[in-house]
Amino acid sequence: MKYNKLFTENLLTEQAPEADILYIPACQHIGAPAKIIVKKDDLVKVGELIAEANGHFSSNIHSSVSGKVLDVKPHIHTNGSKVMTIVIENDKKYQTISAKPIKDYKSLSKEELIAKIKEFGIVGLGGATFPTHVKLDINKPIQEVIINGAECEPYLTADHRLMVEDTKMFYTGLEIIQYILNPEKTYIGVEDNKQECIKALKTYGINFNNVSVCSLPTKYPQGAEKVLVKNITGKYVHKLPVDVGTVVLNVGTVTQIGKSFTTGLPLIDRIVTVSGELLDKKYNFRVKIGTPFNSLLPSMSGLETKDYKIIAGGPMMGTAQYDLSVPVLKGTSGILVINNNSKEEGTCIRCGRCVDNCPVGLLPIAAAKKGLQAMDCMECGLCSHNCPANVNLVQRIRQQKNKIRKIACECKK
Amino acid sequence: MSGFEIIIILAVIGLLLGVFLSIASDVFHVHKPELLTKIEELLPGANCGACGYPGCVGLAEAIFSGTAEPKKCTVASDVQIQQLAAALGKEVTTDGLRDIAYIKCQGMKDDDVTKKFEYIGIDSCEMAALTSGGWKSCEYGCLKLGDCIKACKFGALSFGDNHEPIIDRAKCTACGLCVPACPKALIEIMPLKKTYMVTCSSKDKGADTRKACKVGCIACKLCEKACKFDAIHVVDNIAYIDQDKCIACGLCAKACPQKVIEFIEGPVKKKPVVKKEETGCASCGVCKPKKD
Repeated sequence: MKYNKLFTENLLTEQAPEADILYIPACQHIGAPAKIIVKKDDLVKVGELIAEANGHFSSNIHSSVSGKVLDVKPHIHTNGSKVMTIVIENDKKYQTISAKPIKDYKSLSKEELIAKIKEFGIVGLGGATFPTHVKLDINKPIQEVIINGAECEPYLTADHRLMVEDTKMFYTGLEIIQYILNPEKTYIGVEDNKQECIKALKTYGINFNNVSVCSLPTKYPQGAEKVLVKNITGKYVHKLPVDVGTVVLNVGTVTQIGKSFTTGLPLIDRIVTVSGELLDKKYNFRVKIGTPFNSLLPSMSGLETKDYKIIAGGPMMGTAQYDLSVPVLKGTSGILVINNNSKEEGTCIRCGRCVDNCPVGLLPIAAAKKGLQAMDCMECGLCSHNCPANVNLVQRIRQQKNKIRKIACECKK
Repeated sequence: MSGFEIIIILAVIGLLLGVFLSIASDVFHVHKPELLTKIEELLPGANCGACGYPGCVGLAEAIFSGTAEPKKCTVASDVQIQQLAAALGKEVTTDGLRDIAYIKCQGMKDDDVTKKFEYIGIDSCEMAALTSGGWKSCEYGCLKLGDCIKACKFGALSFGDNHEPIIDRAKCTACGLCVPACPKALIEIMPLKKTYMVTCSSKDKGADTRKACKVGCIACKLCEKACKFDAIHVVDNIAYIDQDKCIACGLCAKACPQKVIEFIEGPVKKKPVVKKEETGCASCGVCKPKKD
């Protein structure tokens, strides 16, 4: 597999071009969509709450710019469907709410800190967007905290730049996490193609107890939760890492916690890698959440004749986009413009390459045909990627998962 | 051992087993009432499950025990149901009408609809619908990959010239297996007597529908104005016909600029009864003799 990280891994993070209109969907996380609390023609400031968490398993959403709410209407989401979205006209003044930095976090109890994290609207920034306050709200003792800096998806370098440039903020966040969870040991897992990050993290982390930086082999899907826990601690995770006393957090999430506590501002921006072999200029952008893709991809000329696709996220697990007014969300780690090399589906030749490559030890062709252990599949895409017959294994496994869910639903009734 | 001996030994074993089996079948015979066997024979034997019972045997038992009516079988023809009733000694009135499945989308030609993107993946409407809501710009439209065709056990559904599903009304038994198979919920089971149907399901506003599909309902309400019997209404940007009020005059179909209202060849047409005291003549023209 080609990792193609050289395109952007040495480019400094720059501020993304300003967008005139921002689209902020009410659903940017796993769980219940947030309840929109602004209406048309309201004026909002940077960091103002515009949609509040609907229950515990949900997350707050804040405005990333100041300006007027143009509309609240269904707009396209990176998953392809239309969801309720707050459309904000950017007045480019960036008036900010009066932020209250939390200087002495140790004066607060764990519950209060978790409530603060919920208030800041922090979700897992690796891509799955699992609400962080739900992850931290556990009653059992935690042996290990694993910080995921593997960034195993090809092309993406957002976490790479973050680890190098924001090392201090990262460790501030890590201290808070350690205070909340009180783990016996903390590991930071980084793939060995990011020596720069390992060096930076080791240099800074010398003052911290119980923190060890693990250099992991560069092999997709190293950053998948189950694989990461297995490779670092040797524990086998069946459902959630919490079951084996482990909490896995992305470096982006931890840095955001540090940043929100020092500045008092909620999650309103993130680093996005804009890359792909078809783009002349590639960037690592710090993007305000809600910025549409078309303002980040200004020059698309010369692509009309080519067969290309635009992907939100990584090339393995990301979703192809058909409309460039789709906004950058909390979980969008990259925007890629790459060649479309999808081929026609053939017939399985029983070579077993999918079985060899499956990181969780499934029989992908059996899972695709009969649904055998399909629910354990994490849809990393390695089986489809390596299939010489181009069988759409992941899509077929998804179909089987749907079937299983439907049957489970009927059984409950 | 010679071949002759082997044949003799096998023949003896066969004879012994045959005698044993014939005795066993007599001793362990399950006495089924004659009527139940007859009901089972009269039912179509399609095992489609449309009645809600586990196959035809399940329904036969239910009919025999009196918990279900012969009419419960949607697949059986009127003649079969009359035969069933006669066997049970009951009287059943059949109206000569049956249900059929109906697809409420007509944006099937490639020229008529706009595409969001090219779908590359497995041939399954279910999965295509999960990929960004399907390749059609209209999020309510038929995706033409044939999940309903795969679900049909009677061969009533097939691909047409534009790779669209077509229902063969003669073969359709209204078992309802295609209804849950459609991820866009476009198939509805309704009585065949419905003579006019709205063949669109788009709940988008008129302008959006027009962009996505040339033959969609744009909610212009011309049909509502044309109808003199208060039978057609536009609710949620889609026309809906109240079949109890509809007398199949066809004024709405004539008025529709998008030709979304389709005439079905139903076997029965309701005759309008004009009562001057109540509504007065609406002068729809149905009762006029047709000029040929």
